[in-house]
Amino acid sequence: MNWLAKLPDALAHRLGRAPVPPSANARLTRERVYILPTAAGLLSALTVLLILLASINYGLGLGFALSFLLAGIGVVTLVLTYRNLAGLHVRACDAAPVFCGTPAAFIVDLHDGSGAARHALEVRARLQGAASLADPYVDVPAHAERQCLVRVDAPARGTLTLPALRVSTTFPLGLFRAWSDLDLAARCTVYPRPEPRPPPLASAPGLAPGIARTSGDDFAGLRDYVPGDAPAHIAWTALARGSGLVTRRFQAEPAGQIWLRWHSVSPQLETEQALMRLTRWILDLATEDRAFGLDVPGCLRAPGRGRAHVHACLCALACFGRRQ
Amino acid sequence: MADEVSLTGQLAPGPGHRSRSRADTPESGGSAARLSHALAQINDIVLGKERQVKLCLACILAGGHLLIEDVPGVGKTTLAQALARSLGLSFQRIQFTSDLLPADVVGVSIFDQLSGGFRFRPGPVFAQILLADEINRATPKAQSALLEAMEERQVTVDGETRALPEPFFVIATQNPATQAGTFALPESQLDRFLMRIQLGYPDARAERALLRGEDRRDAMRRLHGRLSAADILALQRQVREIHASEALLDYVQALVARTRRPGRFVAGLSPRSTVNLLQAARAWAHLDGRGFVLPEDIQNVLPGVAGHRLQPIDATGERAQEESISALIAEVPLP
Amino acid sequence: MSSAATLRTGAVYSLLGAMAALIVPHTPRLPDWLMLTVLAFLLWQSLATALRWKPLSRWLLAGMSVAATAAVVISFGPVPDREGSVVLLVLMAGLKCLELRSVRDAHVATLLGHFLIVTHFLYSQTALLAAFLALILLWLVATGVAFQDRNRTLPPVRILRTAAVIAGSALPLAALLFLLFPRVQGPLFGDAATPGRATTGLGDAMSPGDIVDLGLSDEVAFRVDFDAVGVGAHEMYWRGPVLWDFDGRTWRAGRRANPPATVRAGRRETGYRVTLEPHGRRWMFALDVPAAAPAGAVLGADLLLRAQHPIRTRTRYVVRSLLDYRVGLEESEHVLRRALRLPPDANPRTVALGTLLRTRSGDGHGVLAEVLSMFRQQPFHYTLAPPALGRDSVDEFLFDTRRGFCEHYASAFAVIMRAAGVPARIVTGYQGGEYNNVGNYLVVRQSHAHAWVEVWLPDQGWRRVDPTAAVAPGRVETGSALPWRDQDASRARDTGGWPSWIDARQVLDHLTRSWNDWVLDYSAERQRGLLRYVGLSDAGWPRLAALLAAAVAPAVAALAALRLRHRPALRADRVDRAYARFCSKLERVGCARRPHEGPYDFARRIAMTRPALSVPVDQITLAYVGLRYAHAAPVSAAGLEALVRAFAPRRVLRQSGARY
Repeated sequence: MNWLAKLPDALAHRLGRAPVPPSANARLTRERVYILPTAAGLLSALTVLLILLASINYGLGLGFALSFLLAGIGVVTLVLTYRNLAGLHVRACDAAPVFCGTPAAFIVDLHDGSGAARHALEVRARLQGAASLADPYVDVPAHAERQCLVRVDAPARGTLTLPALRVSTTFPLGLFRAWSDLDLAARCTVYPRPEPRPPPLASAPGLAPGIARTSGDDFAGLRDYVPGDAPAHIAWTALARGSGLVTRRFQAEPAGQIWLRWHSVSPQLETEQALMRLTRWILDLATEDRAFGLDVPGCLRAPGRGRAHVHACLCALACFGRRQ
Repeated sequence: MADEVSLTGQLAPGPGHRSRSRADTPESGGSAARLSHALAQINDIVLGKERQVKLCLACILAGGHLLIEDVPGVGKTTLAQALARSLGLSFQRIQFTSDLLPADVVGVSIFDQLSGGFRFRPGPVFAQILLADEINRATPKAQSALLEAMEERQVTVDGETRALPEPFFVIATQNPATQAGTFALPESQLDRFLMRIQLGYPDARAERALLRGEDRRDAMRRLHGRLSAADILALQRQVREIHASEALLDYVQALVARTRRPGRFVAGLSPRSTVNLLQAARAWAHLDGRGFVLPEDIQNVLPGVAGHRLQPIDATGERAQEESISALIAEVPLP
Repeated sequence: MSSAATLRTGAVYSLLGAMAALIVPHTPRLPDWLMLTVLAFLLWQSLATALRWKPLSRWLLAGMSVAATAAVVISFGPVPDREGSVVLLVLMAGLKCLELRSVRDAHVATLLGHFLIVTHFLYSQTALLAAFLALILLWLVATGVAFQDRNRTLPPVRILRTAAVIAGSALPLAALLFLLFPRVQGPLFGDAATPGRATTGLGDAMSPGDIVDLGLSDEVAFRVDFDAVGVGAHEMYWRGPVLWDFDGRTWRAGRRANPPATVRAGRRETGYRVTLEPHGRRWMFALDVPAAAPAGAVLGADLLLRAQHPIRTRTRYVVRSLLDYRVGLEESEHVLRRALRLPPDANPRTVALGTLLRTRSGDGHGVLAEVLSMFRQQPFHYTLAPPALGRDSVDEFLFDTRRGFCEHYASAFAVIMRAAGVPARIVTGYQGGEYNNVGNYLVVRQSHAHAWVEVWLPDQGWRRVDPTAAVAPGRVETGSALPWRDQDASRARDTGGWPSWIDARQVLDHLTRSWNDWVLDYSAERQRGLLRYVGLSDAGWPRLAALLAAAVAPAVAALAALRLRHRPALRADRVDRAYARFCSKLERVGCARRPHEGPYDFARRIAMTRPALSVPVDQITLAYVGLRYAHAAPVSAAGLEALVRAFAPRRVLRQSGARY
């Protein structure tokens, strides 16, 4: 039944329908929904035909009734299958950034606005490499919204756009498949793949000194002594005043900030390799929650911390050399 | 109050609107009237920013701290001062600079020669309203001193914990992070502000009035406190009693769930932010004279409550945050 | 395709149940080994589903299929007849049930289920069976829906409802197709006679007790629609096989055909239409005596209508019968000799009596009168439970037991006549009938089976004599065969109304007849009749196809419109429903609420764009908001509904002169 699976594409191509420009959301208007019988549907049609022939041959009045009833069920199913899809609102959202090599998960919202519950909708990316989920069927109750995930492999860093989607259904009896192809505008930032075993950060030439420092020299206050605190940090004067063992707290100075610079990695490595190494270092620094700055051609980010900062830096690496 | 006038003018309040929210105690009716006086008074100073002013008041009524962020010169400090003065609370101001020390905020213990012991000299934080100007110009250390006070409503100096007065509000102003010489507030500390308001440039009419009118500083001096601490506490109590129906909570949850979805924001709204959102919406409803929260209230306060907490992933352009929040609202249908 | 593990187990059980329900009613017709095997298959599969056994290997299943086919070919020949086909189909259905790995397998099994439904029609097509199978079909549809509900979120009730909606919507279409689809007269191939129908009814031989057995059967033999009333009960003799040859106990039609008899028609005749149930023989019953043969039949020597083939399907024919007639005035010597033949050593006492009567009375008329008065005056009894008779059956009956049913009297009468030298023959058939007041037709049942005698008198030709009438006049007058039914019949006539059980029976029979006419035997001819009735004369194939398209297309369009229209009223909550109705009313005047727009914002926008509407809109908005968001509302939900019902934005706008 391979040709049958290809038929929808061929038909859409033949009909030469102008592609709808991508937008974040789409309503499956009636002219955007196609419908064709499935293999099971054709088999059923053959069954009806055979029953009809048998009825004619043996003069079975009830056989006629049965074959016509089955034909009627077929027609009703056609309408119901079409109805199951037509009028659906589909919206795709930008996916959370991923690292190159892991699939991006786009969330697709399916919303019913026409007051009819929809069942067993199937959402798939029409891309060759698009991995399909184990259970890609979605039910959308009347006037409600449901989500499904579309996973798309991210083979290269940069910006990944959501490939064309096919929303289809065979509910209620599997005799027909209604489908609609959608180009939804949704993107996903693909960070470079982090290098698996990079050299330690401190060994990189050109980095600011003192990056391994865990405490600053600026007095920031006192706290209760915890076993293991360095004796040099114990507030001996406070002990003398009789307030017990307390430890002096210090805070890191802005001077201890780390700069990740392009020229410190690039001459030795190819571009992609360098980006992978920087990615790994950024991740390591983010895990330790340390402030760092990024200096690559086309992007200079002042030292900072936090998820937004990390994301901005990784974005800069993702789009390195690719910017619009 | 243009919005509110058209609403109350056309939707005659049914039983249980204004009466329920404002007539609980004999003095509460008075406090409501005084509140609207205060509002009018602020609007006389800060021209053409009714919406922002109302948001500020809602923030105060919800018992939260307020962050006003915008480029210099659009009237952040004026708004903060007008608010502080009109509310009639004790008021302190700190200008944050890069050499500000934590002790300058919370106070220090000094050795008293006379008594031969240490005496605590309270810092400016011991006020009912603390105006922290240009908070992002101070070092993180000084910032965190203030932010701890905001969260705990108490300060600990030399191992001794001292409570701050009731009510206690911080109204902070800051310049956008892109300005030079700033230390951006970390996310965890931004979260302590209930709302962040952006003022924006005044419209032509307001600007003309500004050009015509007298010096704002003179006008400011003439402001009286229209409310008292007791009024504020009573109003806060009333706000807490504003009814939020199941249908509304469904809506809030749908909205919040949408922010937590990967792809749009770096991180979604936390449960604490959700509670704050509802509280702010309650205050907004109260300012509208309603005894219950509507989805519109949520939509109105959402940019203020969520703006500084939601970092769009694709932060391109100045208005990215604002746009993504209005897109968010448009995506969630009402139940 | 999904694997066996993902098939919904409930649906698998349901499918197996439906298959079992389709196969089990075949039990009396099919070999026991087959039933046991197939049911074992079903049981195995349900156990395998319940206990998550590994599915059987495809090789094993393929081998079993080949073996099953081979077994059928060996038993029924290379081109299996119908029973063979049914056996094969049942086997295949059972085997397919063993291989339920994917939704596609389930679908194929369902299609086999559809074929199994048809196999039942080969044996019986009663309305009751149809109702049962319709339920099974609904069950199969529901099973199909369950298999397509991939997330298994639909509860069984919803699945059933969906199936009912599908089947219910399909019914009008099916009815249209049934009425208008061009009918072809079969058969297209092979021997098309419906098999397996029991051949009941009169045979071409008669022994004592044969008709008694028939008399106990309530089955319908045929139904008759008269063109006009006016046939008396005493004239209702439905002529069947004529029996000539007697061996002392059994009367037989004999192999030899007599030359055709001459008929002289009188003035009275009647036309009518017979719907004959299949009985497996060639003869067709008609009122004594048929004037001419209908199309496809011949009028035989004994004035018996004979079809070209044994009657295996319900057959309808229109006949005219003569009520006044003279038959066989010029009968040949040869025939008359045959009508006098008696077995030499049988029934000596009766033969003696016949000879005695002959000498006493002189001619045939006298003998006739004498014998009839004997039956009338001597203690003969008409009974449904006659004693068993031995070899000389007529002797025993006439002189010893004197208790008998019609065939005893007819047989005895004919023997006496032959012994007395009067040519006589036995005619079997039906007498009388049961008039159905509901449908205005006559039902003749097997219990009306009868036997009478024809004697040949030189001046009258063959004359009908019913000796039973002499013994039990009521039998002929009411047309009812059995004594106990006589009473019921008269009671029914007395009440004259509907309530007695016989009326219920009439209604039921009328329904059966309509079922037969309009469902089972709806033929090309009937289709033409229907079209003529609605004013379309003689529609040919192309015309019929066009008509079908013209009728089906709007039906499909209506169905689609019904299913595709926007339905805002499906909200669960009353308040939400009312507000949704309010919004759709506003949408129709061009003010659609945006999905995320709050009620106050919406009302404010309307007040801005359509000031004329602001008062009712505010009122409804306040009521809705009060009910939905506040803890006290100005009105109740019913009040809101009333407000929304009264809200007519179009009219308000028209009155205010606003454009929209």
